[in-house]
Amino acid sequence: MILKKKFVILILDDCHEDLQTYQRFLERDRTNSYEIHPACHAREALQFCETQWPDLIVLDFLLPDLNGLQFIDAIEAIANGKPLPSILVMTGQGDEEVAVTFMKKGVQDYLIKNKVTETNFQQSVQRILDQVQLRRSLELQQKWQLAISKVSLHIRESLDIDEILNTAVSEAKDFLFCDRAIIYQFEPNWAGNIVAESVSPPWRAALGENIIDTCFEKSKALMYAQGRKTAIDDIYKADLSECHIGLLEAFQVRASIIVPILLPLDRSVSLPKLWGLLIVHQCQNPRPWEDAEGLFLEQISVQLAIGIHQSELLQQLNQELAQRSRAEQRLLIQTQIQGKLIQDLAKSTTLLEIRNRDLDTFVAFASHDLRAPLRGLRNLVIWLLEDLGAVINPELQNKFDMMTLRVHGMEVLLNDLLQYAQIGRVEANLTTVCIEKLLRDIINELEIPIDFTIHIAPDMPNLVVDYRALYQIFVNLIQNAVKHHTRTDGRVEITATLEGDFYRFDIIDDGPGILPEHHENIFKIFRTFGNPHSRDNTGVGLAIVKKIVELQGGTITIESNGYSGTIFRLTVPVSYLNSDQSDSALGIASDLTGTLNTISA
Amino acid sequence: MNSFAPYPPSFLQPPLVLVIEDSNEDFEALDRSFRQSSVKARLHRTQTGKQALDYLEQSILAKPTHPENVPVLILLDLNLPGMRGQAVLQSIKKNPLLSYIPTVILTTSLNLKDIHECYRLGANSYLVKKMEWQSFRQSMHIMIEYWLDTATLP
Repeated sequence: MILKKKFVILILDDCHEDLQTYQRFLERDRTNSYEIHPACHAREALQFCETQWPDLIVLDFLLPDLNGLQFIDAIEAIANGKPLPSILVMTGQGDEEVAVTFMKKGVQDYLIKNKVTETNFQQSVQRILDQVQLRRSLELQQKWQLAISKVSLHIRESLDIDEILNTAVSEAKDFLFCDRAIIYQFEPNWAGNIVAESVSPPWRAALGENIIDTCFEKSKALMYAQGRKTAIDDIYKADLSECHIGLLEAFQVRASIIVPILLPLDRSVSLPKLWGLLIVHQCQNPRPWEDAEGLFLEQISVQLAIGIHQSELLQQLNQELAQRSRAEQRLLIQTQIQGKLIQDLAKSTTLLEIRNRDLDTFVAFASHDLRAPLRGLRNLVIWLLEDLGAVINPELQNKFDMMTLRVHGMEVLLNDLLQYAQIGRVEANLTTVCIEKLLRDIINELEIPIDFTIHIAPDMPNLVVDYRALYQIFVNLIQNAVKHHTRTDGRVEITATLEGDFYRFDIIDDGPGILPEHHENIFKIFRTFGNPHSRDNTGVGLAIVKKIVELQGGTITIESNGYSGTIFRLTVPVSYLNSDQSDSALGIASDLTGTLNTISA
Repeated sequence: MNSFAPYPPSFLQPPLVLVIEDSNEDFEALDRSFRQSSVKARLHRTQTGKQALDYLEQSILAKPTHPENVPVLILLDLNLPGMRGQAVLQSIKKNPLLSYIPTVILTTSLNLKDIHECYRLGANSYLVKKMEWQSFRQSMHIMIEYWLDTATLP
């Protein structure tokens, strides 16, 4: 619009003929077309200048109301800062001196009236206007540079994407005097949104519209991706598809320039990323776009891309920072939890230490202060019997026996309790133990009825275990089997099976069995299901066994239907710590077993 | 029995043994062991170390007229109320008038530290009380026969 504007020429001459001649000369110019305004008086000309500023004034030197120099002064007076119009002065023959004066005043050219031809008049006007054109494009370029700097500054001052986009559209629209400027952002499927807009009334606002562009040509996308722009002077003459025209008509578009917004090279893709489009619209009328206008938009687009890129980087950075901050927070919470756990653990440990100390105190108390009166009681019974001597009657004797029995039971219970309390408090002493020898030692020590059979399976292993622990386990289980048996000719069988990392020992008896409903409680302390008045039956034995077994890392279970025998199933972990040692020990032990078999045979 | 009795026939009393024992049962066991022993002895019992030392002091003072009240043997328990057995032992052995009297420690403590300390302080023997009555009586009989019959006392 600025560049293609028709030049406005004011012709001021009091001679009507001359006026018509000059007008005719200009109208006949085939290469240029002008907007010509004739005037006969200086007053008329000045009035015209107040409404429209001419690009060129063809000025007659001699005027009836003012002379030419006075007219120039008058023009200057109303210029109000605008650059003066170029002036072509028409002088008479012999007025060359006057012409020089005019030239000094800044007049561009002069022609001598009676020597004027159509050609030299046209040439003179052409030359002057060429200069005007040149000056004007220089000014325009300066203005553009200024505008672009202003836009870039705005864009770079802000890292907020919306502000950047709005600045860009507003500057583009104002600078190009167009009706609408928008920024269109692509979605992955070539559809997109209008994300920023500057529009002059009365044209329709397009902001926020989601455009599912079914007529968007993929070739155009490629073109844009390569950084090329499109200028459409008139949508009806641009060979567009009807679908596309329909879309543009919906927004009252008649002419437009479309410039791609390409973000700096993505590391993963070789092409710059086509982020969106910067579009300006001319509504209602077609518009022949200037190359310079397209270039201006391209420069805005470059600045936009930088701004968008920076803003995206910032956003990404913020996200990363937020993620990191979240991670740090999680870490902090975890550290706090850990700290609390450690604190709790320390507390529990302290509590445990206190309990252990309490237990130590109890054990010391029980072993001395509880035992001593029991011993005294037992002795007193003996002394009473001694003192009574032969005079004692059987009834009294019986009561004394009962008393002795009870005192003995109490001592056994006390010993069991002390034993139970001390399990695990003595450090395990791991040695290679020949289980068969261990079992034979136990059998030799126990009082077993002569008809009672205890059979040890021949394939007993050698294990790296705490001898005392295993001794206690087996002695209790075997003793139980014998003690709770209803017959004196019972049978107990002990077998061993390797099961992965464990040895399983089964202690199988053919006694009365234990009812399934008692299985759960049988390992609890002070639970006994035999005769409560029987000697040594304190209900601590199996609790001791279970505690020791679990301390060794094993398990113990019971199998019995309650009327035909019981199997105690015991597992003991095989220690691999000294596997070489235990292998060699196995060799020695099998020799030992051989010896034992020989002895028993 | 030794035909050369250590005491003049005018006294004709069995020798006196001082027993320092707080537990009635333990004293009963000891007394019973003495009664059932072939060697006769008189027992004087005190329940604390303080009472024992008081008695010893008085009996030494009265020795010229009543030598029969000075013990020929002291049986000392370590675990006593108030003054510890070790302190009583020390007092006896530091006193030149008393230190000659054989002092036998009778205790349940098997603690090596106690054993060492007692011998260092001048104990003449250290006996651990047996738990079972029969064993206790047996060890007491050996002790009684040794100190009151076998050994020659000052």
